[in-house]
Amino acid sequence: MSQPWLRNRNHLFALCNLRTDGRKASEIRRMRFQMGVVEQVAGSALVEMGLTAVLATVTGPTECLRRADELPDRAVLQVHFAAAPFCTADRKHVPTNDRRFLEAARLVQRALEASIFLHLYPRSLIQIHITILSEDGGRLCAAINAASCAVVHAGLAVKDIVCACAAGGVDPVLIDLNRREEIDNINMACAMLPQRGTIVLSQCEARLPSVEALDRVLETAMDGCRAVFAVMEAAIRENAALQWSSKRGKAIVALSETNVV
Amino acid sequence: MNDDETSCAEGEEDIRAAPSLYTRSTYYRPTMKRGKILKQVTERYLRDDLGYGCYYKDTSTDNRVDRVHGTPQIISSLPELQRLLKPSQPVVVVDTNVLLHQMDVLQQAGKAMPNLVVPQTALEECRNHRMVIYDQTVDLLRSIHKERCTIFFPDPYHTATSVEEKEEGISPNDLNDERIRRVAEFYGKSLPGVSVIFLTDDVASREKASRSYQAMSVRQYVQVLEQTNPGLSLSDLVAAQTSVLSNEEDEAPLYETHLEATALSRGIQSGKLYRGVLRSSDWNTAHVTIRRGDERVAVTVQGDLDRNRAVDGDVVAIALHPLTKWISSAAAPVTSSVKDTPSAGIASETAEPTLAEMSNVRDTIAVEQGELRPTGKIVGIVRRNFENQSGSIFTKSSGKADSEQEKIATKMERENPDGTATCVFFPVNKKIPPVLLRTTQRDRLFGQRIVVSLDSWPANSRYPLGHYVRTIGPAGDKDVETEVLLQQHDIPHEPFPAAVLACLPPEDYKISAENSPGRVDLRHLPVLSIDPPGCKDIDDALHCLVLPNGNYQVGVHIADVTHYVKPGTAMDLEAANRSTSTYLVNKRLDMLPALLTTDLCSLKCNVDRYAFSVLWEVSPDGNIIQVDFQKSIIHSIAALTYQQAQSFIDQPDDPTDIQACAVKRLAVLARKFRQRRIDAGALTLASPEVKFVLDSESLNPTDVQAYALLEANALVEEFMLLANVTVAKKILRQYPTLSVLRRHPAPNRSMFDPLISKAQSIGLSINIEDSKKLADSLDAAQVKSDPYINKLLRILSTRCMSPAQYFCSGELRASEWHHYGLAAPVYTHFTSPIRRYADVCVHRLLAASINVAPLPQHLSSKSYMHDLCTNMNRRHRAAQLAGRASVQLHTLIYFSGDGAKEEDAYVLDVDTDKGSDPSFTVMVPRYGIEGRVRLDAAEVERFPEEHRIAWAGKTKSCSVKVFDKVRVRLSVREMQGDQRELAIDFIEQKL
Repeated sequence: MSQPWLRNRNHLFALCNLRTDGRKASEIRRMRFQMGVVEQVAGSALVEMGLTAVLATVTGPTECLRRADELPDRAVLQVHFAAAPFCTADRKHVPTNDRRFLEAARLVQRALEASIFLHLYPRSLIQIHITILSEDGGRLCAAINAASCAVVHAGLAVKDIVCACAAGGVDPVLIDLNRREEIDNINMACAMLPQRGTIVLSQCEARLPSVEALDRVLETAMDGCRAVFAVMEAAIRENAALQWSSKRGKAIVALSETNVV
Repeated sequence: MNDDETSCAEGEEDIRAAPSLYTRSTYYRPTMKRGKILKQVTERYLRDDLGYGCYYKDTSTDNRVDRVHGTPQIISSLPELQRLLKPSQPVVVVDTNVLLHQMDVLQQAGKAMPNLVVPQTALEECRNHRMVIYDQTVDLLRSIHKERCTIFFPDPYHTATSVEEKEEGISPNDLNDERIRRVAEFYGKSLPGVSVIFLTDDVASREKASRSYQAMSVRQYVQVLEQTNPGLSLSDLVAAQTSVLSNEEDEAPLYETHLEATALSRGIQSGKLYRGVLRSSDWNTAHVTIRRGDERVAVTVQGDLDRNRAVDGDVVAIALHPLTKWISSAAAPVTSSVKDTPSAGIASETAEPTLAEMSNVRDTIAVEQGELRPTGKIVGIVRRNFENQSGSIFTKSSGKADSEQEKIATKMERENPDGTATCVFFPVNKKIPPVLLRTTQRDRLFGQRIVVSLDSWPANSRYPLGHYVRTIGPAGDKDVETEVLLQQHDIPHEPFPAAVLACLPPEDYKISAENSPGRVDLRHLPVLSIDPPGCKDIDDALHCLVLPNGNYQVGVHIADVTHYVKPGTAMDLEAANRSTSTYLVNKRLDMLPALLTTDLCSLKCNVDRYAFSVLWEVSPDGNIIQVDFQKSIIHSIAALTYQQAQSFIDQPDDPTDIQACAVKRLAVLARKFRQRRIDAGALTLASPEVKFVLDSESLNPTDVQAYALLEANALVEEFMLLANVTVAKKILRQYPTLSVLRRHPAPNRSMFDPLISKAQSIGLSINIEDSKKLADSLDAAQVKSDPYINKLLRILSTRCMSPAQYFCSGELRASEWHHYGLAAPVYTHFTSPIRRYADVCVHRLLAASINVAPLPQHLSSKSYMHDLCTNMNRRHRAAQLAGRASVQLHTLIYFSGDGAKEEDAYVLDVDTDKGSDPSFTVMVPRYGIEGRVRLDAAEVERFPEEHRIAWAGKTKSCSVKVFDKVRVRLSVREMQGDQRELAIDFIEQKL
């Protein structure tokens, strides 16, 4: 098998069960959650999954800009997706009407609609702005996690905290792929309501070899979502505790680093 | 790094929480096309649960003997490490250069060097440089040894050994050396009482070694080992790193220095340089295929200096020459060597395929001055392809140096002061230049076929340097030469690796209808196979029934190889790499393991077998009414030979004999199909092939026979063509851009010109406007007195055409899919999946088209398909050449046995160029040998118009014209070092 085109790309894995960044197959990247990073909006969160960093802000519920957009029985959820020019190695302007961003915005919107009690805010508008600050794989998952955190920070009523994580590759199934792994492998993004076990999004653009492989990948992605939830929940609780004590005048909200690992 | 850390150390698989101890970023600043500076960040997780590296343990539960690769296990504690290490032996840590150049030492040291540690940094660097060595290292690491303990150490992720990249000035190479030294230090510190040896040939690295371990060069350590283990002889295996040439002439570099790796990648990224694989047919000419956007172009490299030490298969960086140095497309690539070969050989069947045809790549570019062939020069080597080569040593000749080899040997050979000798090794592979070899055993190696590994090619050395690996055996011995010719044509001939054998179904695999849901049971049909006698791999079988409505049902059943060879398995990859079975005179090298080739897949008679069937309904006048494709299970009632089938065709009608009736009906239909094909312009071509009769014990040739072509052969061929064409249409309809097809380009007019002029000189005309006209004119070209002339013309016109080739339908326009020889718009190979990989692909495509199995993922990638087709074409060609070389070898044995023979021969070509040695080319039909006859006449009269030469012979004056029949003498001539060649001498003219 000396032909390079016949070669398995996960060569390191066969030698020591480690991925190219030193993780095992079943380990997610280091995650950090910061909430309340932007003061002017109702809710904001900065989420880092490895080197991917996403900022989400929530405004609303507010009045709709145009009367015609209003819905009588529930709020309208709008998601805007953008990327900073410096988010990839090659610095370039990314137009906001890029088809991939419109699609991602729609996916985030659908995922969050499953969780937010929109009927509690009739005739109003909730806007979520997502900005990719740095991109290293798992963009969609990080965006959903950030949006979900920001929604919680804004104090909107939700059924559950939406968590997202990707899984991919088939043999072995890798979890939370970084950019390099995304190039070589199948990648399936998955979002769920972890405490209910409901999948609200799963998206895969590659061809999976079999139904059985789909099962395994999806199962792994769901486990990943639960792991993300554990970290996210801790961050939210910590933030809530800080706010609680600051309200009672016992502490000052520290906006700098709330490092939860 | 608190709770998570502990949980991650104890659990194996089910912990999902973020495990990171520290993450860190690495910054790179490569320059892109427009000179932009980029910042690239990657992260790496450092771990403290890696213990003392990985070892490989046999964890299989099924106790398969053939299992050789273990699964990685982490050595978590010191006692475990101490238990694994072989006692009272030092631990050897190797660096990149030792892996790259001294692999033979590491492999053969065995028990003497039992505890081996390979740091990941070294292995990754090795992967970037030489894939072959990387494979060997991984194999060495992962195989389960009794007497060795091999450890892989993932040093970039280990907290104890990872190195910060803080200083700007340090080069990546120095940093990697530092990393490897840390691994040695880690073992040195954690293993008190055990000596740790760090092997490196880099003096600077040895000087920086700390005191907790001992740094040594490979040569030093081998000397130590040889003192303690007297039986060991490793010193010949130690690779030569610096020029072993003399001290006096190493000042002036002969070649330009290669660019550094960073300069190369910058040049390639900025578009100044191109990257590609160098391919050559001999050491005078070479091509590099480069990509310009989507399109691939082959760049010609001319001459030693432009070639700059690159050998066949190297990944190189090439700079294009300015337009003024490009050569015109009409100028044929330099093929001087072909004309110079003095010896006779086996007649070839088709023209040499050009590079463009082999790999579907263009080698000209249209510019203002017309089509020009781009040229370029190699400026650096991205990855070396130094593979082992077999061949023999030539030495200084005592008298006058006759051959090219002896001249080189005389010039380069010398004695070294330390008792070794530098001698010149000539690989049998003509693509590789001679190799300088330093050895202590020159006299012992002389006259032997040996294997040599190439080590390096310094700029001041005329030829590359290498070291001796092993001896195959005495030159001229049949088995030795067979192995050499396999090496020469790069034909994989190792036994199948265990990973491949592990994919085989169990020995007691039962073929039954229950075992295979979704198959149609066709066991009631009277299926029979027709093959040459003694055929073991029967891949096709036929049946023919009369339907109630008077039509015929005809079925072609092909062995269902893809039932056993699942896509992406080790067996599939191995088969894709081998691409074809190779048939030599005395042995067969299979594409698939023997259990499949000769048993489970082979459609033997009286057993149930899985098949892929194509079923037609054909009206009695030969019109196809409908066609159906099925995965089936069949039961062959007879395995006929061509001779038996022919006797069925010839015998009178007997309605009670099912077999005879079926064969007769098939023969009738085949005649109709054939007529239709010929009307459409299919060519009937001829081949000069012959067959050896081998002695059953010694396998030495005892006689030569021509292939008898019976109507039964034509019958089978006709139905196989029909099946291939039908399947090609089917898969093409379903997968218009992904089908594997076979095309045969229309011949180039200029190739035919010599043949047309020769035919004219004996009053025959050949019209090559299209295949129909060519077929008709060949039929008309008869010489009453000698029917063989017609066959000769057919052989020669085949040789004016390039061979057919595989390609992926998305790569070429539909008009280029045409198969000229068969006059078919589309054609593919479907009928021999046991021995050809193209057929395996087509089976998968067909299965996907009829919805019985999904299309494997890689078959839907166009670039994969391109590479696959290129590989199939290359292997197919190599298998043909090897087959021919094997025939040539047996011809030599045949003629050397009882001396020379006299035979009739036909003159194919007369050399009428002024100033050339008087000679002409003949073909000996009885042996299928073609060769040049040299005349020792001083005065020769040449008549180029008539293709005739005349000279004064010893007794009378002679005159030889093209297509004349002459009497020649065939004999074997001995050369230096037990090499032999076949010689043809002119005796007299026959009238």
